Amino acid sequence: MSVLMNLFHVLVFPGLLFCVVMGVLLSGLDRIWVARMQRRVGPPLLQPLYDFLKCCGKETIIPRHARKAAFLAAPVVGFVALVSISLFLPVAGQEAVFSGSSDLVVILYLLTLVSVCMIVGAACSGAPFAGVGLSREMVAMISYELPFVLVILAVSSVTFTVTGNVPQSFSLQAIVDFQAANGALITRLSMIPAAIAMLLVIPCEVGNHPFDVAEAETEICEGTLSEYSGAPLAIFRLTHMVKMYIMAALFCVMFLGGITTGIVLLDIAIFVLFCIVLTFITSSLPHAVCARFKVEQVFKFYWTVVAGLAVISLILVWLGL
Amino acid sequence: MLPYLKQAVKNLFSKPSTEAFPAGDPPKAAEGYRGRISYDPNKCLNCGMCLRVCAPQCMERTIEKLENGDQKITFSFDMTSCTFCAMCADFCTTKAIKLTDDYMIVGTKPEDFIVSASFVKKAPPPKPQFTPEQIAAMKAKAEAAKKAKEAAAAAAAAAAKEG
Amino acid sequence: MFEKMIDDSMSKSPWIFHINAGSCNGCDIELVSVLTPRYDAERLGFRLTGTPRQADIVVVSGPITVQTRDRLVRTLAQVPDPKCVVSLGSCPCSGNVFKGSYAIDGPLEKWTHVDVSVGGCTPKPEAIIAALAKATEILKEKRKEMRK
Repeated sequence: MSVLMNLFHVLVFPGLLFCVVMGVLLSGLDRIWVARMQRRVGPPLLQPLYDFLKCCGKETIIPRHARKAAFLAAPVVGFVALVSISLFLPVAGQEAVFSGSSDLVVILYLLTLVSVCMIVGAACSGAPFAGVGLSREMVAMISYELPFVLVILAVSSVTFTVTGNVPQSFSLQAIVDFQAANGALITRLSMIPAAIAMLLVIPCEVGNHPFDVAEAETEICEGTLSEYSGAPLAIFRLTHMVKMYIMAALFCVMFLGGITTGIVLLDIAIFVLFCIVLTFITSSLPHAVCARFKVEQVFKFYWTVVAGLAVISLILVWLGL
Repeated sequence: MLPYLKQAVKNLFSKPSTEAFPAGDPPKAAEGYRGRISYDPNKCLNCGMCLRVCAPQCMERTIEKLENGDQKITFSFDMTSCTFCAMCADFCTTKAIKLTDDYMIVGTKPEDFIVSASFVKKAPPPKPQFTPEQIAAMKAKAEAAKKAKEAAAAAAAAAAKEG
Repeated sequence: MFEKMIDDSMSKSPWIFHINAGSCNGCDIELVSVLTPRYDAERLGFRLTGTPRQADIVVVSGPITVQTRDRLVRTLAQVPDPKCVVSLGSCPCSGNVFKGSYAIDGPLEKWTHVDVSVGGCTPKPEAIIAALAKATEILKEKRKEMRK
């Protein structure tokens, strides 16, 4: 029974199937909203799914200079790492499947693994444009990792005041329990700068438009993805979609957690609604309003403005606000 | 950035400015649009002025001899070669060539792009054929007429002398 | 069932790659205008990619100049099957006003099989959309043939 339950968790909810459905939904909505904000009609809602299926039906070309095994394995490893994050998230009032202490740190590493897989895949494809793309991806990673870590530190330092235990304060379950008892973290004054910083981290982490320096299709031929075609490309596209959901879910858990009604379906509906609103704020609005940043601008922006917001939040927590 | 944000949110609630085209009929082209060539063979004089002024040499004239001596002249215009400069239409004295507003020049085969028409140019009437007797008779007739004319002239001269 | 879904989505998500083979930039601008809010090709699933590896429809504009010829052939070889080649404007079909120049090695038909051609100098965006829509149908047919 427990094996079946685990399989259900891994494959259906909150694992693979739920992730993919949410990823397709959020990414489709994002494309429609961006289109509407530019006064276009926009693609159908299931357009990301069509893209994915079409890429599956195309021929897969492996370049002569590519390292075949790593070239093909990189997207799969990245996708599996990403889906396994969803098992650590106590979404919609449910207990996380792999609950334990310090799981925020594991999530941080798994999120990095996704980007690293993209970098490895690009490095193995042996194309000069992919080389430029992967160096940009690295710079983007360095840019958003610092504020992201600071935000996580700020959040866990709030729970530390209650638990008094360092590994336990990095546990998402503890954070959610704390919020269920004391109200959502976003309502606290000290957490508002951290929440804004997290909102700004999400588009770069996902690789969405104003921060998609690594995949700039007009400048460097899709960058890291320049040699990918067919099924591996489809998996990379799916990874991008699911990442949108995972980041929105992480924000929900960290700042809007602990909101439960007791009815499972209603909880899930509220959670989906939160994800949709977050996608609108973090993906669609910056995409429609901003042009693509330069690499050094991204670096500067994240290490000054966003990291500064997170540091302010840390100081406010230290002051006890 | 704020004005853009305001505009973006405003656009979210306004109607899209997209044309419905692939769903309905293609919209009409602007006035004076130079599209697919139309050629009226009945007006054509076969002067060949269009062939001279065409920069990309998109037109071809084939002359085919028919059995009765007439000429079948075919003008074909290759729309994949045309620059739509309308020089041929300007130089056409009888306005046989015109540029329509049809811009849907889309096809999968080369034949989809050829505008072609032909007309028959009548040969001059044939020379009549006569037998030697007829010729002799006609010559005699002409000789007689000449003589009569001379005689009449002489008579007139004599009358003038007398008068 | 999965195969049928792939067949269906083949015509719903065609990605375009654009090759400029010595074009005067007129056709290139009109191709980009197809993606503007007024014509919005994205509602049909079109997307302009930056790399031939991800392309389904290759749009070629310009007479094939001697300098671009080798690059053109190489780029076309990099596009995975099923693919569709669209020649944009009068130039790739015939050479247009450059016909007979020593710098031109056209037409495009000499180097690859052209599926759909658009005439015009330059074609109107509506004509380009009609041609691309035709190309998606051909793409679907090709996918079905490839599966057999």
